[in-house]
Amino acid sequence: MPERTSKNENAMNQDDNHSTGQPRQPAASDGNVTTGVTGLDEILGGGLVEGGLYLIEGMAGAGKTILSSQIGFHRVAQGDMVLYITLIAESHTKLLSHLRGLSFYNADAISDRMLFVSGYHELMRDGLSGFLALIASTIKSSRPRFMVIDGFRSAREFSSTELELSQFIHELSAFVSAARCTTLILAPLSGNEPHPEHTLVDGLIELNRYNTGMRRAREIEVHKLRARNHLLGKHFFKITEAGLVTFPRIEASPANDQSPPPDFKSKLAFAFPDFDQMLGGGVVRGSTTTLVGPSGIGKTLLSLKFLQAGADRGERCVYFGLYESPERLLAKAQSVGIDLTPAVQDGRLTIHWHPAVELAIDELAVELVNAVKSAQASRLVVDGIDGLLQSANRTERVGLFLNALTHRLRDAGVTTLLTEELPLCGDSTLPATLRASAMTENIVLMRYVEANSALYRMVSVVKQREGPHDSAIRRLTIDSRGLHLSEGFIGPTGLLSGHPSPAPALSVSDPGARA
Amino acid sequence: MKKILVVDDEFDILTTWRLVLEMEGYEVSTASNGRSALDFVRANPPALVITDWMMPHMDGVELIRNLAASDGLANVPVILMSAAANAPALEHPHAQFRRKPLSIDDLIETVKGLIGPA
Repeated sequence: MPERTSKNENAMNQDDNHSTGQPRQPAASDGNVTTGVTGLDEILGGGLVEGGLYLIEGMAGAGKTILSSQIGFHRVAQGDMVLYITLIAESHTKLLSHLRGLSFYNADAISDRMLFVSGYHELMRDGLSGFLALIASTIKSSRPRFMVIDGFRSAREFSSTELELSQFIHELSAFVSAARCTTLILAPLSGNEPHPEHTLVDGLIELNRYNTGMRRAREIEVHKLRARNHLLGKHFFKITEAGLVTFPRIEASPANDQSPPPDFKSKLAFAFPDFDQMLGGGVVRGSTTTLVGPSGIGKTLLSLKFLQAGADRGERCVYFGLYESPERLLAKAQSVGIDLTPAVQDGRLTIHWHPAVELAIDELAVELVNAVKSAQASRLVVDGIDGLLQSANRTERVGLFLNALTHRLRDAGVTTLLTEELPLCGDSTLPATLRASAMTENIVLMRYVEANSALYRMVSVVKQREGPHDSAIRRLTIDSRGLHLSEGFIGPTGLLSGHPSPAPALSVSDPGARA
Repeated sequence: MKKILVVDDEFDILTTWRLVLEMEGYEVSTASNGRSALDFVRANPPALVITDWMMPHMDGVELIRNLAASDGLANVPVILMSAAANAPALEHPHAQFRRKPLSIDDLIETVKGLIGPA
């Protein structure tokens, strides 16, 4: 059936484009039934198969009813007739009053394009065969193209043998397939128990929660999906007033390399001549650079310098931070002579601020990539990447996540600067796999050095994958006129570790570190 | 004792209205869809029919149309109850639409207004 536009479509698809990847085409050419749930069609490998029978499992409160009615209203908007059959479940009146607050709810569709009926009496009186006969006669008279059976637990409990339930599912599957009525069955989570219906349905989708400490995050997993190349594994989702919003894990999506061939000669400078000289002219376009250093060393200011340089050239820039509000950030920059207010006012600089609370990294990644794309930004600063990564529910995915994220950012054509916190003194406590610096092309290390009863800021470029750079250690000073670099430290070694000691003498003929 | 037929596919609503109306002294019968309601009404005409709209086999609107077309049943008042936002057009001289959810007091008041106390 051709997808038909309706008055509700805009409202329902308002943030359909959040996905960071390209929409994937279904593997099979049979009728594709889109769900309209943000991100879900990408997870499903395109959508559901027309006439397929799908089992949605989840514990109470997992979001099964919202998910299925959201898809139902989406199908109504696509021109389908929708049938919602309940067994022992929420009453229709309650269900509708709960859905009324959600943006996809369309009161005009109820009774006209979306029917709610109960199959309880038939199930009680005539068992599963009576229930199937009810479904068959209702499908025959109303011709729905999408159906939800809510409260399937009752059917499970009602079947006296597993064989009876298998037979019912098998017959239901055949009937809805012949009627080309895509069907969702909602059932409680069955845990690891094998249920006969799992093998008989065309797809099995689980809604669950992941627990870390006191925190709970909603997750969706497609265990099985016939005729679709779906994304394996768990994906974060949330329930908003627009219904479910799912976030396909960016590291699970196939990489589609759209980035232009790298041009190592094209460099983006900081308009900070001494520092640009250390970098050999700037950072390579499309690269990712990490500024690592302890609190207060000047990472944020240096990154703002990068954005200011872009804005001054008329480029679009995005700042994405977790710690400082936009007002504080602008005031802080102003105090050292970096005036970003005009750039913010005329849109050359966009500031996104997310206070570091319980953040969902998948959601932030989508927002980050969308911010870059919508601004068509050429420069991006993510201030406090470690704060973002620490809010990952599963730390073991951080490395791949960051790789996938930097890949997407490169695809979006942006040159990225990340700042990462180091401990004030002593060695880094984060394992290497959690460190953003390990995954990026360039690393600028900033440290405090204690000498002559004072603290000095020092800066060095420790890694620059795509070009020559100055390996000297320079001293950074910050005052009301801005940032300054000076010749640096003569003598001691071990500065990078934060524990300087007298240096071994170099030969007089040695050309020195900056040769 | 006045007889009332309650028609709904949701069993919890049938149970609730039956209990409420029986406490008021009415004699209450129930049916789970329009088709069985119509069969019942033809055999035992009640004083009032209270029906849901969306039901399997035969919905409330079709039930009302059938009642209006049946000799001797067109004068039985009907209340159509639904959570749907829009009231349907009812081809019946004594039918009215009430939106769900309906409180017990509202139901009793409506019933008494139509057919008087039990």
